Amino acid sequence: MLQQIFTETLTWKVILYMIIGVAGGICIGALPGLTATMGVALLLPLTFGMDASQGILMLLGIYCGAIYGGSISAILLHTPGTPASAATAIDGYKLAQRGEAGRALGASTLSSYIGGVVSVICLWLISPQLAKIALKFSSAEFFLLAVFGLCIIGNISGGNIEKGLICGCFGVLVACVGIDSVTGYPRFSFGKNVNFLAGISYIPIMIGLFAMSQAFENIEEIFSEEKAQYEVKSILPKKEDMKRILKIAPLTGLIGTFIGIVPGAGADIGSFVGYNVSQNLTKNDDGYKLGEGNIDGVIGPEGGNNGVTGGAMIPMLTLGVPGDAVTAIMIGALTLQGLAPGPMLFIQHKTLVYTIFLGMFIANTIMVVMGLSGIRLFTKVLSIPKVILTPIIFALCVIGSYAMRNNFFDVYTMLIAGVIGYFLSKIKVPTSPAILGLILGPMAEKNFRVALLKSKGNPATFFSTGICWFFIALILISLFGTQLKKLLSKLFKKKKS
Amino acid sequence: MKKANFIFSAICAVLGFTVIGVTLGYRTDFLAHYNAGGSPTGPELWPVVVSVVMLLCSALLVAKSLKMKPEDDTQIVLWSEGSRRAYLSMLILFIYALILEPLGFIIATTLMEFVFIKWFSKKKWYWCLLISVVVAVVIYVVFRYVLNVSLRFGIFAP
Repeated sequence: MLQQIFTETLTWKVILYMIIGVAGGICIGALPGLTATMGVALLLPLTFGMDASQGILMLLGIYCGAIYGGSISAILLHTPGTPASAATAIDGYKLAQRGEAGRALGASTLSSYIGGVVSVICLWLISPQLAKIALKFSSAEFFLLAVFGLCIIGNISGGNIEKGLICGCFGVLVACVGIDSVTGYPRFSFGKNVNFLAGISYIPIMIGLFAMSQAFENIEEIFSEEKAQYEVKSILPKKEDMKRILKIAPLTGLIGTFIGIVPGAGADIGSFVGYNVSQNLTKNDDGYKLGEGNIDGVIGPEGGNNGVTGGAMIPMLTLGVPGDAVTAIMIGALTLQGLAPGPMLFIQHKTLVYTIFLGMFIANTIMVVMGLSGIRLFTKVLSIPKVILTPIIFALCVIGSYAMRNNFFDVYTMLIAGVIGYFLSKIKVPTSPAILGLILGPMAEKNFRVALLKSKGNPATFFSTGICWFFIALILISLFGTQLKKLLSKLFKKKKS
Repeated sequence: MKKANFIFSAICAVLGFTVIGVTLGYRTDFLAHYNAGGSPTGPELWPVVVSVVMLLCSALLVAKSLKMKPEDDTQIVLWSEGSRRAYLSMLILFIYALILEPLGFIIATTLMEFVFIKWFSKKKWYWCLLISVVVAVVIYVVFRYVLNVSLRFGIFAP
């Protein structure tokens, strides 16, 4: 199989697509206003005509490249190119102001690489074992897993738990449009309109919510141009920096991997947790504290955010539950290729799965080579005028939505989703829960009803196995964990006094 | 933000009640025509459950917003120069989607790109037109010939 993987992975076409993907991803990540999620959503339609491995690996290249690329504008402009680089901007920009932009960029490149490789190793080791466990899941377990994924929405919505849950419910309701999968009954078909009977495709909704809405927000600041004013010199890290990178980046990469495994938790959380880890490990050898231009303030977040990339793939590939918004879009990419993520993928398409693992490692390697050798070229990307880029994004969103089913209904769906996404972001409603709802809602409903059919209407089926109880415990912790923690700390304080 | 929260909750409440009202009607229809096998759950159950959760969350959001202190309240600006640009862009894009099928991809996209680039940039009209044509043709060639996406609609469609 290894020979087959190498033959499939190392064809010139696949490597070329990965190089294009990584380069495109770095450019997308570097440009403020274009996020990794937007980039993957926008370029997903490009994979329609490709083979499964080519398409998936190109998207993974975009993902890894974009998460790393955000550090370029974070360091040079103090504006994170993606939300995942917000923490990098704190110390990265201060380093640039001191004339050490090259040092910061070099540290960011290597830390991203190490974080990414650690996450790929975890993906390689954990996924097959998790898939073996998932093969024992029946409908009841899958239902409880989907409910857990939906409950997590509340926790990853920050302070806006109610808004996040409402958005998630909206996503679930949109997924109910069409023919009911269990009974064949048409729901919300508006007089059996053929477009609604077929169901609303979630890829145009993703393109609308993540790419088009972001483009509308960019229109508001279309006339503000930012140019990089700091010169980039001596990118390769010195010996002292290498020691710190090798100490901090693997740890934050590992932590980022486990953050990525949690459904809905993305690279932005990984980056801030990585920054916190740096706070605990930094020794202020430069004479600068964290927050004042300490190189550890770049290493920690960059290791953490790229660590999320492999971690988020674990639940997506093994259980069909997306680890973050980007992997939610990847589910769409797999579906377009006729593949269903889940444990059966590891049995029916084992070669493809291991091709993805090896391909991610190669993508990270391409990223570090490009980053170290071509960073000055990528900084020129910051000069691309938004006035030309934004209309191109509009055209790509429209044609990308149309290309899926050659149906203009999907174009209107995308536009409406884009308008809704724009207004939701204005009133601080997180939109990622809608995607989780769109994907997990049908999974939860179908498995709930099939489980009841199998058990002839007996609800005890949801409490019948140890795995069911494990998920029930996780659901309760995700819903009531904060209150439980407060209660326990109150009890503990009483006992102490 | 308070006002925005109230309006958002109201819209979600209306949506929730509408979904419940529509799907409860499915139960009768389903039992009359489709329930030959005696399924324990019908097509109405899941939308009703989700709508109830949505209504509960809307009520919680209203309660939270009522408790919000004035110093925590933030202004939402929906009518500024930037947002008016965004609304106009939305309108242009809807018109673009409408003319796409009759005119075809290259002509419609060239027009759309020209309108936006001329509006946002200070370039002369012929540079804007040239950039628009190049962008439209490049995207067409990539999707039509590299990715094999059929774009057979419009004036010049066979």
